[in-house]
Amino acid sequence: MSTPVSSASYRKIAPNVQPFNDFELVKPVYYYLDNRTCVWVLYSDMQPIINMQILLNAGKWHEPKQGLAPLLGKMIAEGTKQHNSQQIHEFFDSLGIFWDISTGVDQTQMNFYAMSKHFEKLLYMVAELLTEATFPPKELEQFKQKIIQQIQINKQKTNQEANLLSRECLYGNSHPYGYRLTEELVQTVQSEDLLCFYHQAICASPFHIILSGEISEKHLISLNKTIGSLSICSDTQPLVVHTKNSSHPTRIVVEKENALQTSIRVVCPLFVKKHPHQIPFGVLNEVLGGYFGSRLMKNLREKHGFTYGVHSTITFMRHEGFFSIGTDVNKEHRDAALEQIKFEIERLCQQLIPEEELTIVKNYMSGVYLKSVNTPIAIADLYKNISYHQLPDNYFDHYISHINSVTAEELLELSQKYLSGAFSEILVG
Amino acid sequence: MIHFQEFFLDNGLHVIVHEDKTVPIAVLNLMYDVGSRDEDENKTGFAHLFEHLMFGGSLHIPYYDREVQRVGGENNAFTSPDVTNYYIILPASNIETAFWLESDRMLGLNFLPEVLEREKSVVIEEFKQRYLNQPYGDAWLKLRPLAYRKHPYQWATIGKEIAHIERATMHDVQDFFFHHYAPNNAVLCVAGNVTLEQIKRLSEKWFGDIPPREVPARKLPQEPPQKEMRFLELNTKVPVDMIYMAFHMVGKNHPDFFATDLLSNVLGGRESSRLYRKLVKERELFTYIDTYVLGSFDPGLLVINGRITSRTSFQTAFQAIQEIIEELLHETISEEELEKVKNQAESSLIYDEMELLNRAMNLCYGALMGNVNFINEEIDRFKQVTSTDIQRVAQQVLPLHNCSVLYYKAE
Repeated sequence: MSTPVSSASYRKIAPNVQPFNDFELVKPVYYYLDNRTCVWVLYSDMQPIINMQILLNAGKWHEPKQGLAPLLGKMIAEGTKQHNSQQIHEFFDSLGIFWDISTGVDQTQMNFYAMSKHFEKLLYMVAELLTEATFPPKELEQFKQKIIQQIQINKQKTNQEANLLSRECLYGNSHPYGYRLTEELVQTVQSEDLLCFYHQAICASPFHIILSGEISEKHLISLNKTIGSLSICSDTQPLVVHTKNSSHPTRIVVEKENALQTSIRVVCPLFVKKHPHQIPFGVLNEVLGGYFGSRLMKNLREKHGFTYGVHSTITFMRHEGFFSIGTDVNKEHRDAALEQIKFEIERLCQQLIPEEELTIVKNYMSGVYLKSVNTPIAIADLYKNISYHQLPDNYFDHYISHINSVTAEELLELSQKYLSGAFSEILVG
Repeated sequence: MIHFQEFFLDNGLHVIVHEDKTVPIAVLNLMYDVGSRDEDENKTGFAHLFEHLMFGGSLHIPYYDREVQRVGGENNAFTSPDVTNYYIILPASNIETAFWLESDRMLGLNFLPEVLEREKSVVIEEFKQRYLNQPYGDAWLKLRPLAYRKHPYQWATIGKEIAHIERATMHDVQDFFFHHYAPNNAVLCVAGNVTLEQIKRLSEKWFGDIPPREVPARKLPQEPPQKEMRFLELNTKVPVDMIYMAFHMVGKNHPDFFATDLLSNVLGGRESSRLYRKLVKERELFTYIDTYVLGSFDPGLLVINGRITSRTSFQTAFQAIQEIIEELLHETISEEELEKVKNQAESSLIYDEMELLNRAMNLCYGALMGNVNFINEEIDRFKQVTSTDIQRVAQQVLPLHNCSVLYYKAE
């Protein structure tokens, strides 16, 4: 049966690449609960599941003393006035709810995935977590031990150390984006400290909710009855201001005798996400080191074999942004690798990016975006970003045409503007 | 409810279409009805080696990955004991490129000797990196032959040994292709922002002229019932003591699969499960313990896997697991606990099916099991399980004579 097949000539030619068009995201419907809490709702009846994200302004940025934020979120569900740790876990497991609460640099995020039929039961527990957490000392001690172990393990990893040093170098030790969590800091955290921070920044503080999935009228009524009835202090939160180090480019070298590799970071400050150059700079970043076929990857990995991987990234926090190039290289190649990184940066500042290369990058980025919006929860995550960075809510609607409108000349200008200055260099290992 | 429509091409290719107009993308998922269980016991690791060769250039297309990137797509593949699966996710407007790429590979590969040599060494490095050069990395290489004596599930998809891969010849490779890679041995699911008419037209155009091939009938030896416990202790360089216990259970198509899956969640999994709560939280004998089932087509395994704390002896740890198993053999679980594991099963399924790719893959799995609608029946079948069912399957699965124990002792 396996007759030889004739080579059909049409098979030799790739189908035409269709242009990548803008994709208008479903817009949320806005509601206000009785206590003025703002709720963004993204309806979708594809699956009987609801995702609820609660975003609170309680991060490192707001903590009364260093070291509290990293423990705050994780400890909220370890005990309330009505339920102990075991009961809370049993509650979530019984209803098959996936959940996570964590505190980052600017925000505390509570994230719950529940079947729609259990959503109303979830609300009572969430109201409790928002108002009645107790931070039991016994659970806190267990958790502190776990974090301290993790810090000890991370100390041995050169890449972790290099990341921490990058942030210290950009923002300084006294800045919430710059300081590192040490064993000593963790040891100083007491249950009362967390309770105090919780009362100041979570309990009775305004928050924002993003709901997505199979949501009905009755869910919204229950939401209003539970979360909407919590008393929220109407005073606006005090404006917190932190000043960073006037960061002069520096070079930090930490020798580690036993390390097999050196972790290299090349960093410089950048604008925040709202900046008009953010999308074109994103394209520039992709060309340099953002994807598998990038210039740095081709140079350091494929041509020189210095490393398994090299990436350039843009990090946006609410009040700051930075650009970094990171790689782990064989120790004896560290200077040569650093030289090649500089070579690629200079090339971007001096020569136009060829059209063909730019087109592949634009197509790749458009595809990544389109693939990222294939579930209601993924769309909710985009709106979380919009909320976090205070972007207009049609930000993504023109994302693809914005990427495609970027020109090689514009990128050359941006390279000269942002990448021709001095970088800080961090080498660990 | 996952809606789908299906049709067959004259050459036997089964095509399933799942329309979802809410997304801007499409998935083309092609599942071949061949896995490591179909390998000759002296030529293991072939299904997986072959999966690598599928990226080394086809009749008319020398560089597969670059073509996918050019249209904003992403692709990958995996091999399991039962199936070999390939997928492309891309903007829906470029779906024809996925048909072009995937049909050309089914039509034929370029079978270049240098590609075979390169991929052989890549797979050998993968063997070393993932299975040999990691603490506990060889667990499944040891556990499979301990639990299975006759059935080809006794070897892992990577193969029994590196030598089998080293010895692979171009003749072997071509032989494998023409016996298993055929339109009449595959199921294609196209999901996302597409229409049935469009997919009918594209399937005819790109897959319609690929001739059916002679696929050998599957005749696998069945595993005889296990009569006594098997035990293997390994003294290797691992950081902490680890225990694996594997119990024979039914395959995914058997009515008892659902009760057995729930039983595994009663035992382990989340923090409130029996093993975790008693042995990790209360007695502090383990730092971690989990239970899961292998959802294989032929009779599979229920596995308990735990990390033992340094101050606990193996005997104590083993005994403690036994005590919890004994409870399940002699008592039915409460209605609340039953409800809990059913809720977990239901929400995992729903969560899983939010992703378009998972829906496409699960429709293909169903097709190969003889029921495309399997995906829509699973939740109800979990709901029908009673606590008596759970006790009954516990009595079949959990007795020690049905168990293979692998114990890693830290040096």
